Amino acid sequence: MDAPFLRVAGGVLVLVSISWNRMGPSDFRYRMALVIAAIGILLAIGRDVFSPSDFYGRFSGDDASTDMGVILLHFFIWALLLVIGSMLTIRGSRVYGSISPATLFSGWLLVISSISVAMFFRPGADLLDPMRGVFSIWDALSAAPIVLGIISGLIAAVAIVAWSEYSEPPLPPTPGLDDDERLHVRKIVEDHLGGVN
Amino acid sequence: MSASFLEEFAVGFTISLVWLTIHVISTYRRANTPGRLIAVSLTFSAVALYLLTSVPYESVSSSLISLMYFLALAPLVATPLLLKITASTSNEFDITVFQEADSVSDSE
Repeated sequence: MDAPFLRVAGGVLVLVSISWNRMGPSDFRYRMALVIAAIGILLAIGRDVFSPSDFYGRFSGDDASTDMGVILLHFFIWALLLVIGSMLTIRGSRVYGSISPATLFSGWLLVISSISVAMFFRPGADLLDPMRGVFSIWDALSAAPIVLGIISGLIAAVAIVAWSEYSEPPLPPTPGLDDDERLHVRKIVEDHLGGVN
Repeated sequence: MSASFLEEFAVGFTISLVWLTIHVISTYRRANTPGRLIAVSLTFSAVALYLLTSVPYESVSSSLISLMYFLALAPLVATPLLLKITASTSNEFDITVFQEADSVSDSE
């Protein structure tokens, strides 16, 4: 299998894992989301990471900014740092319970690392020179057409979803719970509340 | 090789539609996911992918590279939100907050 096919397959699996992760803990697919994400990431960047060729050389070469394998690996590095850092920051803040300075500190460290990797340590000849490999907002704006395309596609997607929802005949009202179901739901709620009265 | 405006726009448009199709199919629930949604999203994605076959591989690749360059702004965009969460003093999920809310509703 060639590299572009593996990268597309990996990207599809990552998107599937994001969707499955939104399904909620009661669904089996939710529990498989992390596994699918790991397989997807491995497929997308594994070939480049485990390739016997000089990967550092590719990362710091003159044509690194046009090497899809290098760009993809750089993207996954800062994205992973950002995701884990954000999770730790939210967990360590007061929103989900008591504040945890150690978790907050680790989270912010990872978020700042993510910003550094994304903005300063960019693939190219100036890889290890943060002052020269700095992110250019003008280069980023060159992505305007593809971003406009994505926004237009999202508007079309919302229109498709709205049309299909409104054009479906309404479902009949759901029947109420019977006694067994009511007891079952009550037991689940009580178990999750942990004996709070 | 840099892609033209239309080629890059087509790549972005196709990404959104294919993402919708992947989401609809992967989260399918019987008697819950509208059949028309699957049919329409599959049709639109197939048409978008068919149109994309006329775009040279190098243009698609360069479009994706510029998209990933643009996405590097994400950590900067996320920072103010994370700062707000860090500075937040509310504790919406604390068990004592639930208990207080429960006792208020009981007294009413």
